[in-house]
Amino acid sequence: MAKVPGISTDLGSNQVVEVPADLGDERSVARQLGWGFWLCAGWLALVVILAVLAPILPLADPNKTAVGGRLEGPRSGLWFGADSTGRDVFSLTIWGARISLLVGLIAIVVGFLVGGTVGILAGYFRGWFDKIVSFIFATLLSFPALILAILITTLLGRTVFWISISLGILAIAPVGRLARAQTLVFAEKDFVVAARILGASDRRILTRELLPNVVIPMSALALLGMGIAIVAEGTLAFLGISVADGLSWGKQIFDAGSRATDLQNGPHAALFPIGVVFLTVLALNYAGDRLREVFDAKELAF
Amino acid sequence: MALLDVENLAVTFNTPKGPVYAVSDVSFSVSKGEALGIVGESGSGKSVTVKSLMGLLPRTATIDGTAVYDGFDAFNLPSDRKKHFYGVDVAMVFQNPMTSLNPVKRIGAQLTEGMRFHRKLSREAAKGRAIELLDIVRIPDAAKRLRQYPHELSGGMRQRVVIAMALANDPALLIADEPTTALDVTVQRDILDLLDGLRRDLDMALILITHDLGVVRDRTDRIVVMYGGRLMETAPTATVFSDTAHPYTESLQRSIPDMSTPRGTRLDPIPGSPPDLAVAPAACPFAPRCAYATDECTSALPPLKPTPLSADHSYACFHPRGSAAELAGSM
Repeated sequence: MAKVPGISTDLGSNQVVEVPADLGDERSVARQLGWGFWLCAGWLALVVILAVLAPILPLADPNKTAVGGRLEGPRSGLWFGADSTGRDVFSLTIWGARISLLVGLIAIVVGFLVGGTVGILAGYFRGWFDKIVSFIFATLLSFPALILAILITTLLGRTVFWISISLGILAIAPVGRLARAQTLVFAEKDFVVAARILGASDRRILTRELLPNVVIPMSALALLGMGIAIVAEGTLAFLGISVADGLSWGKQIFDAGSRATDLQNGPHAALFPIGVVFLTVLALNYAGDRLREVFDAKELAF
Repeated sequence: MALLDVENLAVTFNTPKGPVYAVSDVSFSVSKGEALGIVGESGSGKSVTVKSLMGLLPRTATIDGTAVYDGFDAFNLPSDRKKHFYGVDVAMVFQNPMTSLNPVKRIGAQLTEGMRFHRKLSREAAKGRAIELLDIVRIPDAAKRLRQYPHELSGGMRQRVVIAMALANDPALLIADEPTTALDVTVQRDILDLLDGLRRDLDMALILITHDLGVVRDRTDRIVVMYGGRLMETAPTATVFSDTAHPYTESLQRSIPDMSTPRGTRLDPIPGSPPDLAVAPAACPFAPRCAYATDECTSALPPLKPTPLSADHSYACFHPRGSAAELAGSM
């Protein structure tokens, strides 16, 4: 470490303590994340705002047919063109975002609340609880994900809630395993031991010492997971078992892309929503990766 | 009167492969304000010894023997005393400052936590005390440090913070488990001198654990030399160097490089490797690596006995060196 002139402090005990130069922390976190991250964040913000404001935006009713001509191409006022029944593709995409994003969000929240909590507890307390939890995670992971999702949605109903829950259940095992592994890493560290010596309760150690350390690497997974859930909803829609009523990106792509002649005559009706899903999932992945990289740098520093 | 009195401490780990005798028959005591060095190589049981005192051993460990701290049985503390014992009576500095601070919490939060918990200090009072502590461990610009994260400090700085945390509640006994092993050589000396100075200034007892005899040489009053979970020799620090009784202590000294050693001289390492602690102690653990070992050493356990010159200097060996050898021969 370079000796910084002016802040080497002689404390009178002929012992000079060097002050480490600030490790670039003057550079704000916002700058460290880079323009790519902010581009992605901007896109996500745009999609979310449009989805939230859909009812008050001056959009054509997404269910109204013959707003445009059959498979009419994009033009001003009909930016994404019209689909085979003449519905406004732009309006469909924005209304579809509402359910797709909601499904992704609920799924990942369920996965994190259940998987994260159970994983951290298993990694901290070990013993029989850990054995049972690890077995359940392994069982969940060994199920073909799609079959499990189909099973749950068919049994419980094709509502937004149950589809989100079924995708959330799929997220429990991978999220839980990561949470457990991270907890194992940190539970062994001396600062946890030190907290215990100081008389901290298990609850305090879990919430104050371990949770902040486990949450950072997992925040990236949350964004990645949301992307995966959105795509998974699309897959369910393509199998015709997504939300029974209401619009989603998956359903929209399925409607527009399942007939070969439609796809040949007016590919835009499928390509626009596909492009939006692609950009949204890409943005979620990239933003998640950047967050992990920037915050992991702090971990590398020790 | 001794502040801490450990008698016949034995720690056995029950593993699936059978018991491991990590510490056997270890006794020592620390007086108020005294510095004790526990010296030994990896696996000699020095860390297990202090971990047993701090209640940090896993449940698979069984502890025998007694440890009396200030009139209390440290292994069976009354519950109202327990909270006070850890962190207030006895504090600990760990080996690796990289892992003993929480990477996502500010220095200030970590420093004030213990005192707010134990002393019910207000946020403001705790902050004032934290700044005072950072001054004590010679970290400049303390107010600014409180807002920093551990990764913004160097290793030596972090170890100073860890020491400050240990001092937060004015412990009567500070246990430092290899506090400089993970640090740069240039920083090691600063940290050791800091610990030594703090002990004198704050009149606190110190147990300094190390594998390096050189580290404890000028900084402790007494030394306990451990090997294979057993106590090999214990004496006032000067005596350990001037009148070494145990061949193991002698070998340890020979493996320290010295400024006066001529260039090109090879250090004298101890041949062989540490003993297997899964074998029940029945012979001198050092016998297989000892130049003076005889059949007696491999068939019986040498008892710990005082040297003829001083009751304060004990060793566990059938073939002692130094004055113990001469006087034993003449008797």
